[in-house]
Amino acid sequence: MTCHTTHPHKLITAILPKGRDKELVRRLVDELGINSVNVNYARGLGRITPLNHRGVGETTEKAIVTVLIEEARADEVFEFIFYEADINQPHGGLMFQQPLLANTLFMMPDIEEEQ
Amino acid sequence: MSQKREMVVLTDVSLITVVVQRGKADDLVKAAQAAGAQGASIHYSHGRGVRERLGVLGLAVEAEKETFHIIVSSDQANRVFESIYRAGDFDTPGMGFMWVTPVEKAATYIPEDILEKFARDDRRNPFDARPSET
Repeated sequence: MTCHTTHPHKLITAILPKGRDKELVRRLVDELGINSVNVNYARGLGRITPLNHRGVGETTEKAIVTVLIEEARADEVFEFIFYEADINQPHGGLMFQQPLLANTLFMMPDIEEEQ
Repeated sequence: MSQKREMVVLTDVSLITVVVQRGKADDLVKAAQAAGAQGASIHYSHGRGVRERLGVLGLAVEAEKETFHIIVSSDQANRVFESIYRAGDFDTPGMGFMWVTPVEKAATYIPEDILEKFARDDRRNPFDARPSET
């Protein structure tokens, strides 16, 4: 039984300031047609996180958005997230792309989305 | 008039993922930073495994976990990994586990003065910064 795709896929992860995830996820789904987006929340810290964003030794809230995407579209989606989530701005977060050895396909049935 | 956009892509980076008992992540992140890591993102999780195998001793192992991710340049990965390993006593059963996964590319905001430094000293650049115009 084959339960995973043979087409290479990539995993793109973006660690964003909390609150920047919802609009990004909406656009990934509505504009790019991606249906394999996941969000979880975390706390984060970095050397250059400004003190007016946190107290000494404190962490700030982050949203971690992960996108599973076929290799052929990976660069397009990576660039989309980089600019649309303002990662290119100071304190905009960090993103990275990883190769995958195997993954399942998540095919949506052909039905209209509920409003 | 269109504005020139530039994305600097970092290569030769690795992702370190660490799973430890709840409450221990902050100290381990400090150890990682002392070894050169820039930062980390931490979230809570729940695990089982060695805790159940330790029998009554397993009561000393916290079932609630903290998981954290650190992106480091590949040449720093071993040093940061070892620093976390030592600080977390990972050679003791139940203290947690960690792994390193490859990253094809990463991107973040890089200040202009750092980019200029990379451009001047590209051969010694540990991140192999590679600007791409769109």
